[in-house]
Amino acid sequence: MGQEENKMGWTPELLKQRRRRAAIMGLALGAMVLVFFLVTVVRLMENVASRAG
Amino acid sequence: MSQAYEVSEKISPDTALDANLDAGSASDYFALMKPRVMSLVIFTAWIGLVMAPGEMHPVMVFSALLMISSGAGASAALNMWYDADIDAIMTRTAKRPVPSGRVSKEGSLSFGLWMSGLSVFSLAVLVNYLSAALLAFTIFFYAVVYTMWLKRRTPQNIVIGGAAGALPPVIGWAAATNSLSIEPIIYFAIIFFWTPPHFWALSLLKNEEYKKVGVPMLSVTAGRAVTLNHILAYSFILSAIAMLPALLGYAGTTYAVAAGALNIGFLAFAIWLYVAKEATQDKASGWLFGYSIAYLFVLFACLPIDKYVSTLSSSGQ
Repeated sequence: MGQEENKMGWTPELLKQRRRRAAIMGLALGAMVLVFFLVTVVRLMENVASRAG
Repeated sequence: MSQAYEVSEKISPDTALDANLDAGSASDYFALMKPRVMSLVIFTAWIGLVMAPGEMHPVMVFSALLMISSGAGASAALNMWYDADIDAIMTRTAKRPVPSGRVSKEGSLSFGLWMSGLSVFSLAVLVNYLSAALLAFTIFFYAVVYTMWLKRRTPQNIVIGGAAGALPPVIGWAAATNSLSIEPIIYFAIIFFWTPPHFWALSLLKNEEYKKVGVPMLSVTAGRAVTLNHILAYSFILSAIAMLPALLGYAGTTYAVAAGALNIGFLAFAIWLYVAKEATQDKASGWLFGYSIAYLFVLFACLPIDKYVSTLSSSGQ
């Protein structure tokens, strides 16, 4: 895999940048999942509160 | 001015990278989103959210602002993809990630498209369809109507295109209420009429650069005198519109006094630029440009401050 990538022009520096980008993308996706989860919880709480009222 | 301006690609960003590989770091991709412009979008969208009637849970406010700012950043990335040829020539923009070769044009395009889709989808699912539709329209208007169509064709580019920058408080209001009313339309009008004098002040400073790349800014096509007339006229219209929240009863004395003082400053800088002799013209343009940024921030900040003061005084009675 490494040799194949080198043939395509991936230098160690570019590979490092790509790994860093992938890690940040992973974190961003994780944060997005968290936001979806929190909004779902808030909406559930609002619905429960309105039924109780 | 119906003929499209053609610009030859003096520097091809694609050639800066071997085998079309992206050398961009995460901060380069962040820079694609024009963070300084994004900060104004976040701020004005937040004003729309907090000025809307009713209460919104902080998590909902945060997620709405996150999606609105992501959408604004996405449209900026699409703008940088399309304008890479002229950005490479202008000194103000030559260091941007695409013209400097740190991010490929394809990278910028796919980043912009993915972010656009994700932000609109998430806003629709998490908040409401109206705000998502407005965000989608804003991205389309900025990327397609302004960047691809108007920018290189007409001196009215930033006048019409300014609508995209004026929509964030409307999206914020729609996110909070799932409806629209007069107040967000006034906020829209304030930013809409603020945009031309703000950008024309900049274009007077960068006139030669705009001329070089063939972007028909008013100062390029009609000259300095006509641009100064337009700046002055728009400054007076802006000053009148900025008073509307107070005149129509949507804001109180605190806002009225602050807006009045800010308007006096704006008009003073516009008049100074209008009468400035050649030696001080650039200085006057720079001051108006800088003041206009502060003006918008402070004017919009006065809206929630005024609301808070009004609440305090009414609860004290």
